[in-house]
Amino acid sequence: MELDRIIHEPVRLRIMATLGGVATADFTFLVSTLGLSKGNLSSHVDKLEAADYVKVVKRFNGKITNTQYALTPKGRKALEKHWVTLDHLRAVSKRQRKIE
Amino acid sequence: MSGPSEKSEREQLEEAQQLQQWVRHYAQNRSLPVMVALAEFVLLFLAIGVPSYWGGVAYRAGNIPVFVVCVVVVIVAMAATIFVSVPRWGGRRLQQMSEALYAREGSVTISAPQAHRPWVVAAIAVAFVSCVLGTVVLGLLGYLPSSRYMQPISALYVVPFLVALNFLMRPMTGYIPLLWPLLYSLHAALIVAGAPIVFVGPWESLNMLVPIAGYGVLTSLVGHIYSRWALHNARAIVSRQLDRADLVQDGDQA
Repeated sequence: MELDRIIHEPVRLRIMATLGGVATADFTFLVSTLGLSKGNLSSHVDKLEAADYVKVVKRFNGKITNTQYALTPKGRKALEKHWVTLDHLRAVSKRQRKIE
Repeated sequence: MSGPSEKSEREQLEEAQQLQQWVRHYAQNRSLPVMVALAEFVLLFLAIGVPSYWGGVAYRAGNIPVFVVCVVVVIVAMAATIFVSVPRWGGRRLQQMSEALYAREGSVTISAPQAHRPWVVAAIAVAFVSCVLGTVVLGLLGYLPSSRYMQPISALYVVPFLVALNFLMRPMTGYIPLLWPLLYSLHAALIVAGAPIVFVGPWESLNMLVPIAGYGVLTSLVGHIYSRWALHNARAIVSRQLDRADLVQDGDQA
C-alpha cells in the first residue's frame, strides 16, 4: 500500500496525528508538545497547508496573536487512510509471524 | 516495502496513532479550571453559610458589631456568587482562567458536542430542577425521612443528571467525569447502610455540599492527573522518535 508522502515525513506525521486527536491546537501547544523550533513548525505547517490538509486561523487575544491549527476534512481523510495502512501493515506482520 | 523498512514504517505509524490518542485524552481531561471553579463555589458557600450561622448567634447574644460584620461578609459573598454564576461574566472568567493556567503548554479544543435536540436538553434541565424543588417542598411538608437521608434521596436525581450531562458533553469529555456520579451513589449507599458519615447540628447543610462539591473536586483532580499522564506519554513518544532520528543521523554521518 502506498503511503501519502506529504504526511509520512516524521515531523509532519506527528503534527497531523496531534491535530487528529483534537479540533484545534495552537502554536504554543504544537511547539511544546512536539519539541519543534518555531521555524521548523512553520515550514512543515506551510507544506500541510499547501496540500489543504491543515487550516490556519489567526486570532487576536488583546494585542497578542494566537495562531490555531486544525485538520481540514481532506486532511482528516488522509490521516484516516494512514491508519488503514497501519492496519494493513499489522495484518502483514501477523501473517509473517505465523509463517515463521 | 521490504522487511526491516516495513517494520520501521509500522512502528512509526503505531507511535503516531498512540500520539493522537494521548493528545485526545489530554485535551478531554484538562480539568484544572473546573476544579478551581468548584473550589470557588465551596468557598463562597462557606462564606455565606458560616457568617449566616454566626451572625444569628451574635444577634441573639446582642453582639451587634459581630452581627454587622457577618451581614457584610454574606452580602459580599452573595454578590460574588452571582458574578461567578452568570455565564456572561463567570464563563468569560473561566475561559481567561483556563488560558492563564495552561499558558505555558498552549491551548487545545475538542470538537463541540454533537447537536442534541433542544427539547432533550430542556427536558433534562426541567426534570432536574423539578426534582430539586419537589424534594424541598416534600421536605418542608414533612413527607421526607430525617435530614440524614437527604443525600441518598438527592442521589436518585443527581446521579442520572450527572450521567446524562456527561453524555450530552461528548466528545468534549471522556469517561473520567462519570467518577462523580459513581462516588455520589457510593456515598448514598453508605449512608443508607448506616455508615457514620453524616453531619449533624449546625453542620447539617454539609451533608449535601461535601458530596456534591467534594466528589466534583476529586473527579476534576483525577481528570487533571490523568491529563498530565497523557501529556507525559505524548511527549515521551515524540522524544523517543527524536532520539531515534538523531541516532540514524549520527549513523549516516559516521
